[in-house]
Amino acid sequence: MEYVIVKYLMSRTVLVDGEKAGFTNKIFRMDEGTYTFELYGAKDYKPLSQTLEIKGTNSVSPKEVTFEKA
Amino acid sequence: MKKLKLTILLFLSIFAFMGCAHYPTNAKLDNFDKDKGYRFQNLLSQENSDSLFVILAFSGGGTRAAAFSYGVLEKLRDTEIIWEGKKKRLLDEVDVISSVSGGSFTSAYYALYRDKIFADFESQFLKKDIEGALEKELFSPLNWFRLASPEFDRIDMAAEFYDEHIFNHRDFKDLQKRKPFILINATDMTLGARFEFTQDQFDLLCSDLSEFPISRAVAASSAFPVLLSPVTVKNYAGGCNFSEPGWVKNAMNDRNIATSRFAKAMQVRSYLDKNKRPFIHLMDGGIADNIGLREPTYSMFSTDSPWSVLRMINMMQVKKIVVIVVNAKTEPNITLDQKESAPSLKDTLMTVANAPMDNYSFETIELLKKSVEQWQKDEDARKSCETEMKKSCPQATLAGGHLYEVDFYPIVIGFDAIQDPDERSFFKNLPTSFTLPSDTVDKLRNIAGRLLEESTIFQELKGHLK
Repeated sequence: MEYVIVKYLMSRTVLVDGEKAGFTNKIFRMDEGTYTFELYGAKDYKPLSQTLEIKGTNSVSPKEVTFEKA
Repeated sequence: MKKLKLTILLFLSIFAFMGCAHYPTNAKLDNFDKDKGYRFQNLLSQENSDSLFVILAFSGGGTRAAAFSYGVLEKLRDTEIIWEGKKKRLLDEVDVISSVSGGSFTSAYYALYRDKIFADFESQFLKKDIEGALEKELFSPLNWFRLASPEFDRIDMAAEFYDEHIFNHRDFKDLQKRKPFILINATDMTLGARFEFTQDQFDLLCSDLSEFPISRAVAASSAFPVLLSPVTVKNYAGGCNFSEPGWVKNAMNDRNIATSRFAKAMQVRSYLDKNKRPFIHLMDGGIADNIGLREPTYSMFSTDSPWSVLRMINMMQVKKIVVIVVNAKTEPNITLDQKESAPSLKDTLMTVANAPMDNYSFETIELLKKSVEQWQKDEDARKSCETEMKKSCPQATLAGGHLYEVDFYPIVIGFDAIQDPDERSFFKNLPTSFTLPSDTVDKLRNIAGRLLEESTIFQELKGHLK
């Protein structure tokens, strides 16, 4: 199991490969692989999407994916 | 003389007509629409909560498996729980039933008729001599000519029989629009991979599952190699504005980092070229997964599944996951080793068909158990780290906050768990066929309930649902 935190200044729903799959600023679980991360709703953040390889994480050292206010 | 000629002509016409027999072709899908069709997300929850997520996996094994899984449904019907302040039957919390071969008769019947299954499934299927009836059909001269057609085979005849005598001409559109979601699993003969009867799978073929007979899905799921021919479905891919799931494109980059994800993406794309694969041939689901557990496991540990439980967990919708694997596996045939002479062709074929299924089933159960163990270890590791950190810095928290916790209840019931050696031997030596004596069916129903009751994890679950 892999672990990810998507960081943003407020709580938003995270889209993984186009599907709702977690919340910003909350650690969540994924399987290893390449995924595209976006935020659900208004496109008022940047970058608009990030495609990243998720592998070699653990529950104590999750992968951090950061979005900023546009 | 003229009368004789007419009679001959009439017979020839009938035979020619029958020689043109064709299996019922699956319908084309005009427009891909995720909000329509038989998919998990299109089913209503009603009284069934998401927070208690119950998955049943029914194995193959002919009537033995069907009766064994039916016994589990009876036990769940009789198990009262209290969840989120409401008293209900555990059966009413079942979200998904994934089934293979013999187990698919039970799951499909339940999906169609719900509690009516407890009134007539025994008389309609479990206690009927289905095998004898199929043999009669096979030896009927009328069917010989139909079977001469290259587009009509033994499995199509079996599907017709199931349609007429068990499933009452029902299609997927007749399935109830509420949970549980039923996954009837077959095997794609070319890929050797699972093929499930859901609209998500049929989207890849641009085919409309709603018009597809339940009986044909069950026939495909139970088309035991050699004994029965595969079920054929037509591939219309490319003509319904289908857009592939978002994960597929990314997974195509995962050849070296996530091999199984890459392989899954390749399988998905193999359906999208109808020129390369204009027809898909489906056989017994047991070839790819004889306990129906692969897709539920995938759903629990991957965000890619169309009904990903992992996504629901990440969205904090699920609190407890119960997985009940109902495995009607029997004993290897040790009588072979008591003779010096080479085993018969039949015994050899049965070994070739069954041994890989049994080995793979064992691996699948182990995969589930290990994944659950790892999940719990990860939760514990994060908790320990938080505890250590708070010792020196009480206000500190780990980035990402608490890891959302879920309770897992993986329950496997099978004949191995029977304590009494004679009783265990009785069940482990039952044949795989579509006919069993009435009292054997009753014994299978009863032992299923008893084994579930004896499961320590089931007892623990009941304790948590009071």
